[in-house]
Amino acid sequence: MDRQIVCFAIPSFELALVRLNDPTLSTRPLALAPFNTPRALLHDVSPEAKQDGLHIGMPLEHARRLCPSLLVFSPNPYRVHSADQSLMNVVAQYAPVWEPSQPGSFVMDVTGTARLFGPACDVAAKVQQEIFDRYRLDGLAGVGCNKLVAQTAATLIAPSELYDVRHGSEQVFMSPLSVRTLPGLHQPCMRKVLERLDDLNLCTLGEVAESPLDALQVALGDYAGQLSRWAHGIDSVPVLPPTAQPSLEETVRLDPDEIDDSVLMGRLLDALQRLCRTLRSQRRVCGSLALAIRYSDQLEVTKRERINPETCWECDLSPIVSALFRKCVRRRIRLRAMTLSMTGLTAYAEQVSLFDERPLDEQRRHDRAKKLALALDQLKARFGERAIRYGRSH
Amino acid sequence: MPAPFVHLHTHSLYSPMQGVPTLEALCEAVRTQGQDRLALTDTNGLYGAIRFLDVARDAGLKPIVGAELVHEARRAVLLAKTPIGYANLCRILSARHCDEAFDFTATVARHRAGLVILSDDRAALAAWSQDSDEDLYVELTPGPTMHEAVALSRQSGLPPLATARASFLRPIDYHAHRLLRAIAENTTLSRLRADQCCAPLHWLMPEAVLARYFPHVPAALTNTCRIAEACHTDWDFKETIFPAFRQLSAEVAFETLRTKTYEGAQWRYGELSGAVKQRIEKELRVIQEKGYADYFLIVDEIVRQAPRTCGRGSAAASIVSYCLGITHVDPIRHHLLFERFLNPGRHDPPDVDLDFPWDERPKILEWLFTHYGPRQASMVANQNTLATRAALREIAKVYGIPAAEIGKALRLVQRRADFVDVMPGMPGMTVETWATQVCAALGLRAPWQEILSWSVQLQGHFRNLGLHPGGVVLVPDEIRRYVPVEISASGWPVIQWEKDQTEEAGLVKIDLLGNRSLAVIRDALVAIARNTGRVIDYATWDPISDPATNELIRRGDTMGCFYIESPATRLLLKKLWTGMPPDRRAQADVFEYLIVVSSIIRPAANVFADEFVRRAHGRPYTSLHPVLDDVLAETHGIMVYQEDVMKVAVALGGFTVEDGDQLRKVLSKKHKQRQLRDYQRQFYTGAAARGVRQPVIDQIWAMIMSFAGYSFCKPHSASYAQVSFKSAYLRAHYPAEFIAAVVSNQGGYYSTFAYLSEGRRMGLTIHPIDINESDWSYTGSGKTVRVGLMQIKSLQEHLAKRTITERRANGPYRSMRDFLDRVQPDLAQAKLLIKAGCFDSIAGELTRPALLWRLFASQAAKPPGYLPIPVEYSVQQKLAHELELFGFPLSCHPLELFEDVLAHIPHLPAKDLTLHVGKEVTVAGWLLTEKIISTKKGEPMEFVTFEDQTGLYDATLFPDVYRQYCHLLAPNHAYVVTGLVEEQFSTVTLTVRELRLLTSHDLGIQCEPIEEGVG
Repeated sequence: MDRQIVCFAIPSFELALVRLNDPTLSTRPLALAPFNTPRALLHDVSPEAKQDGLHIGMPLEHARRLCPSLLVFSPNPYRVHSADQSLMNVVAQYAPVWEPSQPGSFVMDVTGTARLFGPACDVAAKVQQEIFDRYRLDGLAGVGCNKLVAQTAATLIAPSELYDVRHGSEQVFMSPLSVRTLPGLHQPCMRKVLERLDDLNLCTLGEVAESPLDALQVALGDYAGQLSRWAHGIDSVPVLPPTAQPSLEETVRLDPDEIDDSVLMGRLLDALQRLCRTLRSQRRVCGSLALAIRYSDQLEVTKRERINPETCWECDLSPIVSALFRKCVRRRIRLRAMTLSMTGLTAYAEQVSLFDERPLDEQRRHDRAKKLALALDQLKARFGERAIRYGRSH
Repeated sequence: MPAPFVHLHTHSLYSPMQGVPTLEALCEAVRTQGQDRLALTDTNGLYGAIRFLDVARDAGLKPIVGAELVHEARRAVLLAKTPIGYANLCRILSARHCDEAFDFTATVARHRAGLVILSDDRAALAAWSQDSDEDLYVELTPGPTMHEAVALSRQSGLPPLATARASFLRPIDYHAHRLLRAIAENTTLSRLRADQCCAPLHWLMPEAVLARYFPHVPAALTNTCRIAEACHTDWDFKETIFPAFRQLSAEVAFETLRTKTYEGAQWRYGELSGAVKQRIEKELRVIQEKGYADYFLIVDEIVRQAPRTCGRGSAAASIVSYCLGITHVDPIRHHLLFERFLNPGRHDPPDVDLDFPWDERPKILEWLFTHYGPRQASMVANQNTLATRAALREIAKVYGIPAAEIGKALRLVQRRADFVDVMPGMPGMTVETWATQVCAALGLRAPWQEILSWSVQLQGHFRNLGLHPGGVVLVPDEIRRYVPVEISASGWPVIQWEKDQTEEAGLVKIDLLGNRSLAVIRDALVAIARNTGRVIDYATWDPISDPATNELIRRGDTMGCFYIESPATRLLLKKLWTGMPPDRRAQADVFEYLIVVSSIIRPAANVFADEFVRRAHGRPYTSLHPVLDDVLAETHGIMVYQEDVMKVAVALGGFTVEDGDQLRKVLSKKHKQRQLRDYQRQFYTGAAARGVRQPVIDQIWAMIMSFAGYSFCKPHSASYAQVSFKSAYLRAHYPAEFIAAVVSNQGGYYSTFAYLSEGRRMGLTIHPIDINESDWSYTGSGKTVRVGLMQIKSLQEHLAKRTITERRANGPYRSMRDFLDRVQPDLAQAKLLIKAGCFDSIAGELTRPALLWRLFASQAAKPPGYLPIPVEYSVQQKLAHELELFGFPLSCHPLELFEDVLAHIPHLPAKDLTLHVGKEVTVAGWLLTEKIISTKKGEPMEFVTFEDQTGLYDATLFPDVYRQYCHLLAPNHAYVVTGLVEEQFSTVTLTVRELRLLTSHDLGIQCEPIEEGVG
């Protein structure tokens, strides 16, 4: 059976939500950026702001200089989440399987639903119409026989428009498009492929499709087959329903940026204690710890460590956090943020090891540390987060 | 009464990236503590020893010379008790830096004579005390290990000695010390380990504080006085140490020089006139009297190692130098004053600067070191310090600021020099308040305030030794006796002193400098001989009377010509000659005026340059004082040369010739402010005694001060003017060969792009790179210049040369395949050649992308059956490749990239500016050079040179406009400039009113205006 995929998206979703609340903003240049830092970067910009030269990732200060009439709104994750949920409710009525790609954007697999709702393009139109009727949000929709074609079609149109790529016409559809329209080519690992395509002056997907595979292979290596399939409009990746991955994380934002290792470690260990307290309150343990740091120049480094046996105690995790910190922070550049994540969360097992091989002293020290942590949990619960903290002796 | 204690272990900022205080602050602090002696013991060196002697004596202290010897975990303080001890100290320090198998204990033991040794190193003290306990002390310093040192002293019986090991003056300076250490260790303050810096207690404790740590060992304090009194403090480095020529006796050396001089005179003049003989005899007399014969013979021998040299500096005033071929300007014909070079009252050694083609200099140095050996010869150092920008950059790194942000902030600080020039020191202004104000004005956020504040306090700190561009010191015996020697990164031995301390210590320096223009002339002469068969002999070639060359210089068409190509010089030449009345012009000697022009272009003399032009045009003038009319007749009453300082000081200030010469010398030194004040007082008193009024004295002194820092003597300028003339001759008669040589030697004032544009304006055709035509360097012939393979960034020189050798041996390449088979380059290098268009002429139907595809296929294990031929790159893509590979667009003028934008902006071509004098016009321009200067009020403004397809033009941004647009200015960017066309001395300039930066997104040209608020 031919697959029927619909990509539905509301461009600049959060700004669309802002405009929904205040229709007078419909023609004003808008941008989304956090207010709590003087170094904020733009998260999203409206088409009017784009016309003034603004783009995502631009520093807010610079944007304000370029576009004095710019109105800036702070991101509101709660508003986005609840709006996204509402859209999902509509989408769920029509598609047995759907995959959220980003807030306000879904890929739906409507294969086999023709008898129920009609052809895929009708489903797309219905979703578009229903969302507009219910929420006054103007979406666009791309329809095709796979995710690639549907998503590519969606990038070529404006809100309220629909692009249906009929079965069999995928290669004709893809042929005039620039190779840069392929979303997969923007991943860092594909930089070399893009460079080679530029070298060979293969600018359109049609030119790639017309090139023999063995000729492409000498230039692009293992990526040649994948790229050739994409250029022919072939994509077998299924639409994957969302799955919940239990995890806990805490981000330490540093403003101003910080380079003092002892300060940074102190903030990190504070975060670790909060995470451990949460774990204990949920009666869970974590099996993996990850530290992601962002330097002042936006470079990010992430290091992970598996924890065996799983634990929820600071005394077990502190040395691992210190080691992760040493692995991550190698440059002489200030840090802007640190995110400590716990994954592999499982229920806390009361069963302890029957034959503890650790020296008695260490066992006692460990037990004392656990008791202390529990006591601190109680104190903090009663008197607040800042009531008491660990100190550090040098 | 002096304090019963002497500091015998102190570090100044000459302890690289360790010591905090300046010599002045250290000596002042010690004097304030009531002591009358001080030992400076910088780490592993005598980097500031000569300066220390002066500063200490000025502060009323008796200087003790020493050093802290540190090697791996071992350390000792060595004090020179006697001159022999000083020589041994130099030998030990030299061994520490030069000997790979340096043995700390054995080396000190071998050279102990005349040294006092302080240490807390148990093993070393035990080894040394086996030889003798004399002058051996256990060093006690407050700190956690002091009790061990006390125990060591008691056990060994060696006397104790108290030191502060001071690396900073006050406890609060500890942070500055840690910052220096963090910079040196390439780390942050929080990652700096305790063993990487000294203890917080190591400040300059006064005796009263220090005594509290030694209640149980009072002898530790009193011993310091005993040692200090025993140490030699009456250091004198006045005696000049002359090198010896082949170990000849003084008489034989002089006779050899006399013979060589007369032989050279025959070669230079043929028949010798009475004036020539008289001048030679006069000079030889002074040379013999001062014992300089060996020195001349050595320089003569060095010069003979290269066919093309330019002897410059004051040596060009000597007929002996001229006859020996050291210099090439006839001092009699050009009225050059021998006294500027040598006079009986001059105590400092003569200074001969020799220029060699830049690429021949390494061979000359190699010859010198082979001939004299590292025992007798060494390079002079450059003492690299934390300059303002470096201090800002390095401290910012310690604070963890990313490189891009540092770069932006530095550009901002540089552009807004008016804020930064308000330096701390004004009433009520501390460094911190100043830094706060600057940051507020420039929009820099924390921690820039702290960074700025520390950068002011740490700038000027000695960082490491570099190599002086060409200074070489030769001694008759062993150089390690006189000064510690190190090994430079390039492998040459280098002494620890920079040129000023070297000269003050009596060491004779010979400057062997690299000169790109001599290489330009050499390469052009070779090309001319190859292309035309005409051989020009460099030694006898005299282009001074060539009409075309004279006319070219008069027009100021001197881009590419040695020393006279800067916008300011070209403009001055135009002003001078274009507006000169015909009668004066007919008589004026271009060479003589060129000597003046190349001397008067110096930072502090702009106002005098315009006045000189007016007077040269015949405008009547009244001298500040009638005496100046005689003294400065040659230069229309304006002080132009260094000699003029001497002449005016003698004539108006009543100076002796020797004092006048010293004043001239002091003006060019950095560390002579006190002496300068003395000379100023002497000048004012002398001039007043001659009835000169105070305002006139002020004006004349201001003229004298315009020579501070950098100025030239007439012989030097005459030497340079001769090289300028030679390059101007080549430009006038052989433009293709000349431009090719200028670009190939990569050393001019302008970018390669600017020279090629000038070549096009001169009527030359620039041919692109071709695998069968291009050499490594640019080649010129007739009316064409062929771009060399050197222009491709990242192309390996050895591959390019292999390509050329293969082509010459086995004929041109027939195809890219043929090239790949014969040269076998790696893929990345071959890619560069294809993208640069090297194979276009032999590609047939294959496009550049098709060539690349075939290149990739040639590397594959299994070649594909069929390879398509993609379409050729678009014009825009090719331009982008040119920008990436060459650094500039080669196939068109960069302004053509902005044709779309410019089509909508009415603008004039630059060549038509002269037709619009007094009107406001708009022109497009590609920015070539900029020069930021400060007005009298301290406000920054800028002179900018732009070009379009039709010509160059100079523009001025006065302070108001500069402040508005300075953030947009950067070389190699396109602008639309609106301003008023002004004419002065028949020369047109544009006074900018409005400026617009053009951007082209298609090509990825990123114009990055400096953003405020980068922190």
